[in-house]
Amino acid sequence: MAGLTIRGARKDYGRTRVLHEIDVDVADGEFLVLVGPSGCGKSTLLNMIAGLETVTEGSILIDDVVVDKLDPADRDIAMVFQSYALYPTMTVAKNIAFGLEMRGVAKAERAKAVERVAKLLQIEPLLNRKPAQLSGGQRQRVAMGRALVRDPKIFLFDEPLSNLDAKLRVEMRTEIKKLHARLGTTIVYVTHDQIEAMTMATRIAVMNGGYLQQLGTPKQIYDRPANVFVATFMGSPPMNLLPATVRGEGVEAHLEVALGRDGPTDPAGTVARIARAPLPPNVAPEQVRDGRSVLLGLRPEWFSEGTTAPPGPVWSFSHPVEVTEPTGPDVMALLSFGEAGITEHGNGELTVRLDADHGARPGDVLHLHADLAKASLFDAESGQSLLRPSARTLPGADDDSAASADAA
Amino acid sequence: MSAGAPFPESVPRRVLDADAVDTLVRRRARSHRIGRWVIHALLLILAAFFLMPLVVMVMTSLKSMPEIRTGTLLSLPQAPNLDAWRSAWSEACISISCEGLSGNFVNSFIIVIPSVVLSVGFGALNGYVLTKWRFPGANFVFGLLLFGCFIPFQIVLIPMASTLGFLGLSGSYAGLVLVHFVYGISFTTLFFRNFYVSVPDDLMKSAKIDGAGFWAIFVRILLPLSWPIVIVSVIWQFTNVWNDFLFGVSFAAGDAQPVTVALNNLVNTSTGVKLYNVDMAGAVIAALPTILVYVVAGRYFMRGLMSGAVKG
Repeated sequence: MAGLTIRGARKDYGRTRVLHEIDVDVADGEFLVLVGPSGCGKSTLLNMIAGLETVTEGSILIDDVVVDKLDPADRDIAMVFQSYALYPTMTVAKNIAFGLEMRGVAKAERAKAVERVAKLLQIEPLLNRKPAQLSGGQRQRVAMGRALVRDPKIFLFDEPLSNLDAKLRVEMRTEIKKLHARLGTTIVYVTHDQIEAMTMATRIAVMNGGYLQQLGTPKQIYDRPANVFVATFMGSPPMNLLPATVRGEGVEAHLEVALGRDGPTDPAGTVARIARAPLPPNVAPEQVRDGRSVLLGLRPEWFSEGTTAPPGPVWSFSHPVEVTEPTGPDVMALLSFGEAGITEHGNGELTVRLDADHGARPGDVLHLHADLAKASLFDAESGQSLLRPSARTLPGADDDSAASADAA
Repeated sequence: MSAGAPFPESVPRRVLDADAVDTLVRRRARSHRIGRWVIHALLLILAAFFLMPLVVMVMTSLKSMPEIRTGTLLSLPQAPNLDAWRSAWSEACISISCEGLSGNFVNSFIIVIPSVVLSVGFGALNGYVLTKWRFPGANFVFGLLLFGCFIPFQIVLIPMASTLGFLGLSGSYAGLVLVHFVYGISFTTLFFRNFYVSVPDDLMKSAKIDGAGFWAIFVRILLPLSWPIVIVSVIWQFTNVWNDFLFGVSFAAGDAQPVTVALNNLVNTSTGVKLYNVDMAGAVIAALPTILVYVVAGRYFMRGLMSGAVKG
């Protein structure tokens, strides 16, 4: 059990900078997930924590002790790999005990430790088998057993569920989470799957291109993304980003959203339809400038449909449905905004979540009310969130607003 | 044949009914059978061609000299006996001593075993270091080692002779072992390096985190899974070192000569009559170990070459 501090960590391979200034504080017992697309540097960061890669600049501290000059074996960490990395010629029992053996633990104690771990992970009947005789899920458990038996300060997981089939993945996700609740050891977990990140983490560090994009609780990351990348990477289907322009100043400020040339009042599409939307209440006042190009961020489930608008700040507008996608628990309605809505952040479509029994069909006009209290606003050029920093925490969130290390 | 079909009407369509299917099947089966007979006949002829020398050697070694003189190469021995073998082993005259090949046979083992052990052992170590503990210039070093595979023996003779002289090892067992060890290391390093390249790096990371150092990883993790390539290397080195003639004749002297050199001398030594049966027996004796190795372990050689290192 230990805290982990990553201070100003940078990593260069020759002349290429792979990680820029990463600052992360992990409290004792936390489950930190590093999530991002392939090549974002999350595995490199994990390897630096483990000691398998050197730190070009900056430092890594485990329990307030600077460890970046120590060998991996001396850092009191254990790692579970995507490929399990089980020693193929040893039995499961020997695999699990290998780390203890290398540290000179006596044979009897080793056997006891192996038994304890095997019981915890329910792999007792497998102890005398070789890795080649195990299924993927069993190998995964053995790999976890090998890490558990060392009782380390920090567990490191490097995409451990990527090689499993979907059903097994869901099962193992829950198991790992239960294990964490039971053992309370600090865990750093790397994945490219944002659902894994959302379901397992106490805090998520979203990374892209070697930069830390945002560090926060799953709720903070989901509801108050710090930039366009986080907004579209987390959550499936991704957050809708509508191109808009700020008009007016101060109290008069509002948004103009282009809804394309198709509209219920102009089927021929001769006039560009601009809808006037109120400014989301959480936008920082100093960011409001007349003529500024922005992106209005609205998740599909933040819309309600009907003739009467719900209370609170809303933006109401009507638009026809182009395609409906029933997913089982709900129906995703896709509305097309034509050419006006095409940017690199979308293809002119708005996705709205409707109740499964809604009954909307392609061509029907929906009367939508977007919840602006939840909406995000991003600068169209830089992609940064324009919301007030204090609004980055939603009412009811447990953690205080964690440092969102917004990088350029 | 319907209106919307893309197939043009002019192209004749084959009608597949029960009779047509029957004829097709029969015709194909017949051509398959003929093909198979041809292939088997060819294989038998080629096998016979390659085995013929060995067959002739064994048969000749079992005959007596009069029988050899009056019979043909391929005639079966009428009264097979092992006199020629006994003579080749312990009585035949090689230059001035008449003690047969037995001593040289033992010499060959004395030379081969340390050579194989050393070259395979160090080849494994080299392969391990080159693939798992990369250092700047590793590829260059590997290239240099590889270069050694392609150097013809003959070029090395004179430099090697002066080196052995400088080290004081000329004409001794140790000298010849050193030559074979150094020459064989290029090949064994190549084998092991190519094998270890396919061992996943995650295994190394896991072992380092578990606290295993350089030797622990080598001995406890890599070697146990190296059996396919160890067998390949041992068979390769054994065969090459046992069959070697050039280094043996250049660097071994008198009593230290391997059986290949002794055989050559045996055949060239004649006190009047050329004893073909003894010569043949000697040749078979010299070839026996390598033949045995291939017969017993040949399939492991093939399997070893084709196996990958680790799967999952």
